[in-house]
Amino acid sequence: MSLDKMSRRITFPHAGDYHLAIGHLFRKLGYEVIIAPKTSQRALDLGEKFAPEQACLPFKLTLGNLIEAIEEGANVVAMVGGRTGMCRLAFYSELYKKILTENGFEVEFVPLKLKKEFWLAVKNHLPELKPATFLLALIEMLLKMRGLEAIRSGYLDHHPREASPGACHRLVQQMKVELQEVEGFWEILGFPKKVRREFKKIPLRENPDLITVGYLGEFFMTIDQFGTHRIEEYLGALGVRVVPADGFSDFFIGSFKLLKVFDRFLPTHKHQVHKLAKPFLNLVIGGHAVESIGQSIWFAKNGIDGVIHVYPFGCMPEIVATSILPTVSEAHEIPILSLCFDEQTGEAGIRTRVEAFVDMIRRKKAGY
Amino acid sequence: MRSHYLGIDIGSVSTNLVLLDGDDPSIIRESIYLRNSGQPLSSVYDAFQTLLARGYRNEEILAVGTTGSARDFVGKIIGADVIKNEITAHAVAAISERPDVRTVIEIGGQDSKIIIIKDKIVVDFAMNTVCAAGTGSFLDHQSARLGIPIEEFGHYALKAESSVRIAGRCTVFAESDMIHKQQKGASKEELIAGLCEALARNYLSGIAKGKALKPPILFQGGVAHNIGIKKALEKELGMEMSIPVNFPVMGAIGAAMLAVNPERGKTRFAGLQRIENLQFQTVECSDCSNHCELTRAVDSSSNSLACWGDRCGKWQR
Repeated sequence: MSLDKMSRRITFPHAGDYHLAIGHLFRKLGYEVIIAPKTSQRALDLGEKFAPEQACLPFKLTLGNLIEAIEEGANVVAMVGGRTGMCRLAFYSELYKKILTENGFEVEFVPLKLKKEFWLAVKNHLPELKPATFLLALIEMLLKMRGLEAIRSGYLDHHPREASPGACHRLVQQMKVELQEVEGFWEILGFPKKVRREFKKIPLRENPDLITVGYLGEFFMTIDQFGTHRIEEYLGALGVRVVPADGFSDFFIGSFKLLKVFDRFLPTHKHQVHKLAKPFLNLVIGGHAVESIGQSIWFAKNGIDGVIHVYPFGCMPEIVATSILPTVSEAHEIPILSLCFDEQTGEAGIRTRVEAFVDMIRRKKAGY
Repeated sequence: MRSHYLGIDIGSVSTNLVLLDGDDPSIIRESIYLRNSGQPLSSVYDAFQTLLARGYRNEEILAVGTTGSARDFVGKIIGADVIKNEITAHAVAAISERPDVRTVIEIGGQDSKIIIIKDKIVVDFAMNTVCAAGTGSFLDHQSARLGIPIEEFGHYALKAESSVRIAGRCTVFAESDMIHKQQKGASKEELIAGLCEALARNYLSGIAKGKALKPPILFQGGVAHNIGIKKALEKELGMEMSIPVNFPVMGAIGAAMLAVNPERGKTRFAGLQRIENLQFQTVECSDCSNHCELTRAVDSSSNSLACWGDRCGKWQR
């Protein structure tokens, strides 16, 4: 048995920096974890080569990640999917399986979801695993996700106001290393607080032109830096404070059916967003269409100056959202810029639009 | 001493340069429109040579603004004070041309855009994304194919008594369709009229989709030179458009106006002379784990003129 355990090397596709949390989960469970190389042009090229042409950018990028990880010795793939209410993502796990097998990569799949199937698959691999260890690992992953989200929002908040360029950048690098290494439940629990403390130490300058922009859209694109040509960094450099929409941990927490009971008394953010979207889209059509609309309204109601909406080319739910957002923009008087990305998207074009959008908001605010 | 604000618009097809009067920036002292044949920097230097020949001196330049697709690259090397995107530049120029303007239609070499303005403030804009059908480059190509100088292209459309319908969604297929119609006996005039209508339709259904176009409308950018496109757009819109006198250089005018700032100290402008033996060095920054690849522009005596490519921004200030 122990030999079998040794020979299983698990991997999973990248989604922003969430490998720091998901990797921790599998290490805690007792797997050997192979983290795919950072998403690069090579990963995209591989994904493009093996994926159907019409597949979306996230699929191509993540397929590339998996192939690169398999090249480094991974033989088990953990992947979300198979849930109703999602977009084509529900099929991606099956599609990976088919593409990888057809091209001679031999891998086993583990369904990564908060359901019994996940426990059973893992238990099958690791018969000695105790339910308590499993639960603790899941909770620690969730907490590490919180830590990661604290790093991200700390960065987005401080970067446009940092006194010496590069300070936030360096802190982010350092914090990610620390997050990777932090062990022990209480330490992990206290990590987000530590991140906030560290960010508070960064010297800031007055930035009278500071504006705040909400950043939302198709979930993968909003957290992936490679596919969107580091739009967050660019916005920060332009002096824009970026407020991101929900992160991974919110989805995990939101996927507990039990919480729906409390929505009547203590509504979750997701619940509020869905309610706000109702006058415009009264139906869950998959993906994050409802969230994109509801969150835009939430941003408008909470004093945010504008919204940047990103989505991959060919993403059905977001295409529906894109056609509704101009109405939202008019009704709630908030400028919204929709940006569509595929593997062909040029950086210069995106930057021109983003810069013009930021100028528009600034000039509107200044009234000239 | 006379003084000037310099604005440069380095686009995909042309490089445009204007000098605005230092005391009254609404007066245009010089305006130069050059085709750049894919050499942005050397076309800028060519324009500088013209300015030097006309007696302008470095000390007279109060500030410099750049815009257009090569704004960053050229702006950093020549030392621009303001580097701005084309949309803002065009809007600023249009508002100064006509303060009550509500809509700006701009069609350039590879870009087409629409800007919606309310009370002198930009409220919405759109720019072509994945497709450049109907921009200047395509018209250029077709005028060469039909053997008609680009300057006269639009007039041919007006001479036509009727037009043929051209499939205008994709310019490659538009060309196939034009060849097909040509083989069926359509005259050059009818073809060009049909092409102009197809491009106008394409613009309105693509870029201007879902936007309320209100008069007064300004039509600017190089394609505004084409009277056939103007007429076709007006017919589709059912409204008159006006073309500013300086329509091909509106981007440059906007860039120069953005550079006007009385609070600014000395300009960063490096001067009108050509930088001899400009070289580009690639170095890797090893200050953090990103290992950004920096590009440094150096002159013959290895002075660093500009640096870019870093993600944190510390080398760019």
